Amino acid sequence: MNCDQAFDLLTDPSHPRRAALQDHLSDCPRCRQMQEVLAPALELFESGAQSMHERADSTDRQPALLSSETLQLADQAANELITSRSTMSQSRLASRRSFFVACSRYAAVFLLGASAALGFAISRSGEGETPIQPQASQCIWKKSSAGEREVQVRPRQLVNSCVACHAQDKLARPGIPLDEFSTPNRNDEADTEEAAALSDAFNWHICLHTSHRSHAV
Amino acid sequence: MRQVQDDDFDSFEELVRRYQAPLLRVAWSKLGERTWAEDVVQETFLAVFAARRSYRSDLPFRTWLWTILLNLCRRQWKRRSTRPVQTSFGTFDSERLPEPATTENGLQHLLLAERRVQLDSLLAELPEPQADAMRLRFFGELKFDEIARTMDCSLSGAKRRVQTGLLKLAERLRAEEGEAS
Repeated sequence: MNCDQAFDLLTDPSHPRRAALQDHLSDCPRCRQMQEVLAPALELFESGAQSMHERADSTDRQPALLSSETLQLADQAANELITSRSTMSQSRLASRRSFFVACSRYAAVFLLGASAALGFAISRSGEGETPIQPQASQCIWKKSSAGEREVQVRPRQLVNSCVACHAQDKLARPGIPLDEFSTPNRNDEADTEEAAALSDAFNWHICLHTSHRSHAV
Repeated sequence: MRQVQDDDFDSFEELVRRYQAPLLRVAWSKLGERTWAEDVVQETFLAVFAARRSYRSDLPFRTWLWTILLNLCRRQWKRRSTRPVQTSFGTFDSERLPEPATTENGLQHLLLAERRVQLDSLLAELPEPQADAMRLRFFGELKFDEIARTMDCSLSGAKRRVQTGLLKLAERLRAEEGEAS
């Protein structure tokens, strides 16, 4: 045993004063002197540790500082927290998904309705392409030329009647510019000035869809 | 510790049982107040358990444990910002004595407690590295290489700290005895 190992044993609280140490101390005056110098301090540590041991032992009857049950509870609580958090996020995700599904359903219904309406309108416009055979009595001009002058006609009704016939004529003969319809027919002077004025302001495009029958005036 | 990492609570309880007393002694000596020491020890075990997954098994467990304790003691010390000498005697509470018992062992307890208070006060006067090294050696029962790793110093440095601290302590004790006589 060397002096370094002797110091280890000298300060070892678990195995104080081993036989090997005593042998070394008897042979080494330097280490013996060291032991004599350190003795009061070593004794103080011994008694201090003993005091703490006794008091620590006295508290062994008290509940443990930290039991495995407590830790298990803490661990379980942590796990539950993690689980509940993931469940919550899943439910949020599910609710969002259901919201989007509902929205998409509404959108689909709306689109279906819109497309149905559009289809219906298209089909209606397609039907319009087939000339409607208006009654001869509808043409006020014809009525008037047939000698039914006594019929009281309002200027607007007259314009409508003319526009309807001319618009159909335009559709039947696409070469004729649409501007032609913006003014009354040059060949047929309007009966009254009021009728001419009204015809300028009339919306021809709407009238195009009202009737398409070609009618040469 | 590997078993603890696998959530073996019984193994952790065994760890607590094994290290509770030495940890408490060191913390108690360092802080001077038993209740503070108990708090720190409990915190140490909680920290060990909480960080069990991040613990690397190639590192010595004892070093890790003692390092946590010393760091928590320092933190507690800063928090309280009082000297252990002042509180140590105040914590000598009769209700914590083990047994009501006879006059003889009651006197013995008193003497031991007085010696411990004296030791605490003397350690508090020493430089912290020397005092800590001695606490770890005598109360924690650590080997010198463990002290070196815990205190992040060399093996010879750990021995020197203990030796120097013991010499200073002995010198003060002799001085006190001389004053008393």
